[in-house]
Amino acid sequence: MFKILLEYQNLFLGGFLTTLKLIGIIALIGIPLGILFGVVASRYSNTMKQILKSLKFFTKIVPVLVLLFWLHYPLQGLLNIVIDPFWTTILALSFVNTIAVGYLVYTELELLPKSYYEAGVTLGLNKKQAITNIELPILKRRISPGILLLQATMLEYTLFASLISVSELFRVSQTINSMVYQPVPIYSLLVLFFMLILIPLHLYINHLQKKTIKYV
Amino acid sequence: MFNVKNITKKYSDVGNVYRGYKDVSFRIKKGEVICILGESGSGKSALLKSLVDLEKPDNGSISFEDNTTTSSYVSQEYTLWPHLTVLENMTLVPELNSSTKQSFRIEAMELLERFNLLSHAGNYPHELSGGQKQRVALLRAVMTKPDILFLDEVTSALDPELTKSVLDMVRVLAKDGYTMILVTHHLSFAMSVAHRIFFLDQGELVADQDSVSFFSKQINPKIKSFITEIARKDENISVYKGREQFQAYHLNLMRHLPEGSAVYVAGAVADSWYEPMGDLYDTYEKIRHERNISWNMVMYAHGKNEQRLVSEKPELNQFKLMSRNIQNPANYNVFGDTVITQIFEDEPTIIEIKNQNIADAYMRFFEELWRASEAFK
Repeated sequence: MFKILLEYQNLFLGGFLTTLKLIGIIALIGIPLGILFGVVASRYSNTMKQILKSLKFFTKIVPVLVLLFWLHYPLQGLLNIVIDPFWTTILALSFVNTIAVGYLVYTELELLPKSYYEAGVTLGLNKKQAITNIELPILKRRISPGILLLQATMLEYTLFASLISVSELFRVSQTINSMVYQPVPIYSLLVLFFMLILIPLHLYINHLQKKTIKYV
Repeated sequence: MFNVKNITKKYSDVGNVYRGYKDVSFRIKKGEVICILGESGSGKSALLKSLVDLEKPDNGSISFEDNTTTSSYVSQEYTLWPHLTVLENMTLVPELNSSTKQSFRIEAMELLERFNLLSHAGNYPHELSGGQKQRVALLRAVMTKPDILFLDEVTSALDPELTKSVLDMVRVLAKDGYTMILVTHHLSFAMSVAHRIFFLDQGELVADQDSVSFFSKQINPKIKSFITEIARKDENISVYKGREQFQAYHLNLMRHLPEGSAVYVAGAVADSWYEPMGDLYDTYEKIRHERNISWNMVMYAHGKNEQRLVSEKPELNQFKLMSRNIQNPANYNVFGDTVITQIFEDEPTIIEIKNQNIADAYMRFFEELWRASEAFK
């Protein structure tokens, strides 16, 4: 297994970096946009609330792989454009991530007891102080595990990028396997890569979830 | 310090049930403790929320005589901020609002120590019991040095044991001189702590009375029935209704009071007490004489029985006449830590409250009446 890793280290490293780039960009777009979307939908705009709910429903009924393929083939054909599959993947998964994070934030904001804010205001804080010192820190604790869990799911979704020829880790593994045909060590390495990233991430999420249940 | 003029708030008016409050007016003076009573849904909490500016009244005005007047509010829910420790909960607001950015930790620690909560300073709210949470919430409100404290059923989510610890703390704060407006369903607590009682009925403020008058000279039938009903649920209050229970209560009392003790009675009306005692009065009197229990009474009017008692056993019967021309069909008695209110209308009723604070308060009232009354001739 390690012999193959050493022999094809550049290919594996390239695939690994592509996977990291994908998840990094998807998270960088989806998390802030999603938080913004969720806050606006919950507190400021009824229209945005309806749009968010509709898009959430849309992502429930259209599988991620179907969306990715639709963006890659029919849409580009219809518009007569060609987009790098890497960016098509970013587009599809960032959209899914934004909606998922937005809906999570929206739901948590709806569930956040008003009484915490009211306690702050009736004790003499102004609205801004109450939001920044009370609501946001509580919200942060409540949404953090959920957002990280979504990013873990997005990391798993990046595997679909291999189906539209993005040279991420899975695609690279397939390519190497087609050259040397040693599926056991190659796919075991793939398992190892994902374990290395997802085990600590899930342990951290579990830790945050336990803390959240206790504290908030 | 605080004026409320004709405020009204209406949430809904389904059928004959009014939700909210209507045309409420009152004025609060510095240092006063007001208890708001009323059945659930009568608008008590809605009124309090408007007073603390959480909900605007539909019309009317709320004004403070001094623009710098500050207030704090503690609700019936647990509202300690879960991401902060007890100490941080208490210091957050004063520190954010302080222009000098001074630390309020020492002050908070002193308060926690005073109320035996210092060992919890570093705990998070989830590590506290319900009673501790509400006591910390009260101290958090006190830390902001409010001119008025608004408390909305702060014990509604607590079991009786924890309730006591919270109410004891409110009593201490009342003694400290805080102006307080509180919604409660604990009658004995309201009696012991309040200067004035407000009663809301379907959103209308139907009573604004001093607490002694509210409980012992109540003429509003709806409030009387409310008091009796709530009293049944109050662990410190027992209600004895009907002739048999009335007689049994008094005989039992004579048998169990310490020998040589005194019963202080205010508001007696001539012979009205003797009638429900019926034939058992003689037994009662026999035990009373044997056990040397004296009656000290201030009365609205005296009858033949009182005249006889004074002439037969003057050492056990000290009576005075109040210089008032009214006859209220209720009186109250004080002995030890107990106060009883007796109502002689329809069927005789005794409401017994076991609470040293209330007994002390009524005793002070009795002494005042005693001093102001004329000797019995």
